[in-house]
Amino acid sequence: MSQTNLTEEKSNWGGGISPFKTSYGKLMMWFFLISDALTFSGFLVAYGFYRHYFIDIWPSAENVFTHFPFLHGNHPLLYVGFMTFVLIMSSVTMVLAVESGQRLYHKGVKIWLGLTIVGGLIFLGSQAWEWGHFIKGTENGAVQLEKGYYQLPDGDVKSTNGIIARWEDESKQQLILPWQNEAGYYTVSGEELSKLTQNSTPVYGANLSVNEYGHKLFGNFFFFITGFHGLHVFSGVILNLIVLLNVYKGTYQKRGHYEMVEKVGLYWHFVDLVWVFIFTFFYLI
Amino acid sequence: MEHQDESLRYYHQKTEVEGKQTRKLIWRIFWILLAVTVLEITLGLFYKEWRLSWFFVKNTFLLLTVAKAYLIVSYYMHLKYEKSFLIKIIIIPYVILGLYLIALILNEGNYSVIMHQWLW
Repeated sequence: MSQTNLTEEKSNWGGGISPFKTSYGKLMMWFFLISDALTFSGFLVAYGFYRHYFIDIWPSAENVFTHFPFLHGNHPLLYVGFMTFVLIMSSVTMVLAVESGQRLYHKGVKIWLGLTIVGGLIFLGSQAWEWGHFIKGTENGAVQLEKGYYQLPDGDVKSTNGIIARWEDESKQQLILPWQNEAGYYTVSGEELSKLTQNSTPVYGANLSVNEYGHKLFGNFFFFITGFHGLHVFSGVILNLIVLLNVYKGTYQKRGHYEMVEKVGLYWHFVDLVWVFIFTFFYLI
Repeated sequence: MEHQDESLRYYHQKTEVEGKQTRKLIWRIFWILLAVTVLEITLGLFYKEWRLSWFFVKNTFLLLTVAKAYLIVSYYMHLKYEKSFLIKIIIIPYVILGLYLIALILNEGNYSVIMHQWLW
């Protein structure tokens, strides 16, 4: 055994120094983010499982989120693209605030951190707007079918218990069933329609028990996952505000380093990172 | 002074030159992230018109997502420049989780179909 090896080991792990060359606070922020990311993974895995399980009646996000402020018509993906852009932009301003802090450039931290908070608030407002549209639903609404069976033209028998079917247009003469073949979705009209819908209930918008766009679990997961992410954005904005107040008071200038900005920066980038995954699994796929 | 701020020990003030390089990198990463997002949205809007298979589009989305996550974590969260032991501690749990999930999907994924028949 050589003596030098032992002393070297002692210098890294013998106490009194961080073996990761990082301060305690930053390390703990990383560990918190590891566990928080696992929570989000759990949600997304559960979402994936139920989506796979109800794949033939699962709504497609491009048919649900089609609105854009001040624009009429069908604009799938456009609004969520805007939200993604806002969050990426606020990530950039955050990392610029961190960079200013590393040079002890007081004014830069103020500007960039302030812009990050503005970005976070725009994102929260956009999410509220999108939730509002999802909860309110469309003008035509949909129909929730009663317990029973329906035989498709190709011979397949389907259970209609709690199935959501949407109207073709405002006249409400033709109902689109959630099952499809190569030619598209099956529709019912005329006498068959009145037989199918005699005990059905009309549904408008989405909440935790019904969802006019399709399976109610889609609504549940949407509210829960985007809500939990929104809560993270909200707490991130609060943390950023507290740090910004301290920057204005000159706390970090006195302390000689802006590590607090780096720590909230880590949290903020994590929120952006989670959104990257939600964007893919909820809106794209 | 007896008491010393522990964080100060790991802090080194960056110079103007270093700051300029960092800012250049930050904006470069931003343009890549923006381009990838625009590509994803364009693909999502037009893949039917371009007659691309859903299997291909879906996996492209997954690959691009991982690429974006890599860029954010390594450059914006600065993980690439940390000690390699710390990088491993943070990344290895997710590699294991990912492998576990892939194994579950391949091995047990068809059980949900069987369950569907039971519950019918």
